[in-house]
Amino acid sequence: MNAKERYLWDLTGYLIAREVLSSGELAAANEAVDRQRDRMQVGDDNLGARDSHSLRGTGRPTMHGLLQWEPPYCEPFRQMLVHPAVVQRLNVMCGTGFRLDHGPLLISGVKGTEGLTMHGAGEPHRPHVAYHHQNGQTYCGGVTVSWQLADVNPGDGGFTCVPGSHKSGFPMPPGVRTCDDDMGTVVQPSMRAGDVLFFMDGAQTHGTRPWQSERPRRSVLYKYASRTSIRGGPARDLAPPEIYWGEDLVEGMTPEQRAVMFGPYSNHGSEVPFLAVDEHGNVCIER
Amino acid sequence: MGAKRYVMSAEERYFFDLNGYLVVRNALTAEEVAECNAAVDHFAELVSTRSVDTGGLAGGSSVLKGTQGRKELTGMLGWPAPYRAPFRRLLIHPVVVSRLNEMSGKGFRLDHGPLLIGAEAGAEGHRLHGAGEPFSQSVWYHQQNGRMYCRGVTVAWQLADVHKGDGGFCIVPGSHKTREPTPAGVRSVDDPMDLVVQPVMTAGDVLFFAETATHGALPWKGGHERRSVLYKYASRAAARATGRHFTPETRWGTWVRDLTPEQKAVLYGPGVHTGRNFPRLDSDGEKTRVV
Repeated sequence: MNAKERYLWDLTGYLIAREVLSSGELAAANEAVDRQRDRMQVGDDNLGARDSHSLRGTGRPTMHGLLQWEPPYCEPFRQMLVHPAVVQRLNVMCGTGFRLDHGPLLISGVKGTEGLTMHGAGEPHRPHVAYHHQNGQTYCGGVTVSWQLADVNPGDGGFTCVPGSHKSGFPMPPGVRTCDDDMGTVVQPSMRAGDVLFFMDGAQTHGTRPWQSERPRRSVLYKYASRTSIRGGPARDLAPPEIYWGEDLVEGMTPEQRAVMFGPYSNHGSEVPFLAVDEHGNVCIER
Repeated sequence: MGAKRYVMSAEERYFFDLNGYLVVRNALTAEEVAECNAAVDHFAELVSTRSVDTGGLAGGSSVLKGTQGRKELTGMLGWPAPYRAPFRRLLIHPVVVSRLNEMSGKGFRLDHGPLLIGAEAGAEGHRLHGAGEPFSQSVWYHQQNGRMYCRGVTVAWQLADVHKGDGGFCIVPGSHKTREPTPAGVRSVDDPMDLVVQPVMTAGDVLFFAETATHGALPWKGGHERRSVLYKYASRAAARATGRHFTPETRWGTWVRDLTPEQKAVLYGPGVHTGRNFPRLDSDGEKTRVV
C-alpha cells in the first residue's frame, strides 16, 4: 500500500485497486457464479430502500456460501480471501492479524433492482468499526473488500459512499440517509471488472443506488475485521453464555448476570440484553 | 447506600476522562467484604504463587523486584454455591453497571476473569504496561461529543486496605491519552519522573481503570495481605480473550480443513490472547504467506 493509496484511504474512506484480477481469474469467478446460479436468492422489494423514494426498486439478488461451494467453483473465491492485493492493504488498514468476520456475499442486480439506504458514519462513534489515525498509522475496525466481477460505469448505480464521512463529528442528515436530498455528497465510483474496492464498513457512510444498467451487477463482498473487533458472522451463534463460556460456569446465573456473559459481537439483531440500574439501585434488564 | 451512588456523576466522568481511573468508595459493606474473604479463605488451597526465578512480572526492574511472586486465584464464578454467590454479585454490582454503561457503553461484557491478586510483604511488582501510544485497538479510549468509549475497563474490588506506601496497583494518570512513547524508566519505575501514582483504598472500595492507561503494580510492602479481585470487561464488540471457539474449525466448521494455511489464518476468531504460534499474513504483492 503506497503513500498515495494511504492518502486516498485516510482522506476519503475508500480505495479502489485497479486491474487486480486477470481476465482468466475473472472468467473463472464468473463461470463459478453462472454454474451456481440456482443458489441465487432474491429479497423482497424495497427491503433495503425502506422509506427512501430515490432508492426504490425490485428485490436484491444475493448468493452466500461461496467458500463452501464444491471444487473447482469455490477456488476463485478462496484465492480472493487472501489475495496479495488484499493482504498488503488490510495489514495497513486493520493491522496484522486481521480476520474474516463474515461473508463472502455475492450481490447482483438487474435493471430496476432497489438500492440500500446509506448507513455508517463517524458520528455516533461505533468502537468496533471506527476509524483512527495516529502517528502515521491508520486503523479501521471493519473493512469490506468488494471484488468487481462486472463493470460499473457512471450512472449504473451500485455501491455509493460519502467521501470523508468516516471523520464526520455530526449526525448524518435524513436526506443523505435516504438519498432523497443527498446535498451532493454521495458518489458512485466507476469500476471495471477485476477491480477491487476497499471501504470502511460502518465508519464511513455508504449504501447502494438502484441498478440502472442492462448488464447485471456482480460484486463479491468479504467483510473483514481487525484482530479485536467483531461484527457478526459465526460470533452471533457463539455468543450465548452457555456456548461462549460453557454450561458449568454460567449454571444458576440470573438473567442479569448472564447479560454480561454473552460473547463478543455487534448485537446487530439486539439479542443481547442491556443492563440498567433502577431508581432503587437494583440492576435490571433494560426494557 | 442511596440510589445516587448508582449513577456516574459529572465529577466522576471528569476524573475518569482526565486520569484513566476512578475509585468509588465504600461500594461494599464490611459484611460483604467479609463474605468474599471467607469464600477466598475456603479455597485457600487453590491459590498459586508466581515464580520470580525467571524474572517474574518485575521485568528486570530494580525497583519492582521482590523476594516472592504474587498470589493468584481464579474460577470464582464457577465455584459451588454458596461460595460463588458474592463474586457473581460483584459481576453486575449496581456500582459497576452504572459506571460501565458510561465508560464502555451498554452491552458491555466480561472478557476474562475474575482474578484474585494477593501478595505478602516482599512480593514483586508488575512492570507498567499499556499506553495511548502505540495505539492499542483492543483497549482504545476515545471521547466524542460528550461520550466516552473505553474498549477495555478493569474493575478491581478491594478486599483489603491499601495504605499509602503499601504498593500494589499503580498508574500514570492521563497516560491513556498520550501520543508519545512511554520512557523505559517509567515502565520499570526505575525513573518514574514523579508520574506514577499508587491510589490509597480501603476494603470495600472499587477501582475502575482504563486498560489502555499505563499501569502495573509496585512491590507489596503492607504488613497485611493484599487482596484485590479483578474483573476484565470489554465493550460489546471488542475482544481480548480468544474464548473457546478460536480456531477456524471450532468457529466455522469442518469444511475449513481443505483450506491452505494462509486461508485458515484469516478465519481465526477475535482476540489478542492468541499465543505465540498464531499465524499472521504478509505479502510481497505476488504471493501471500504466513509469517
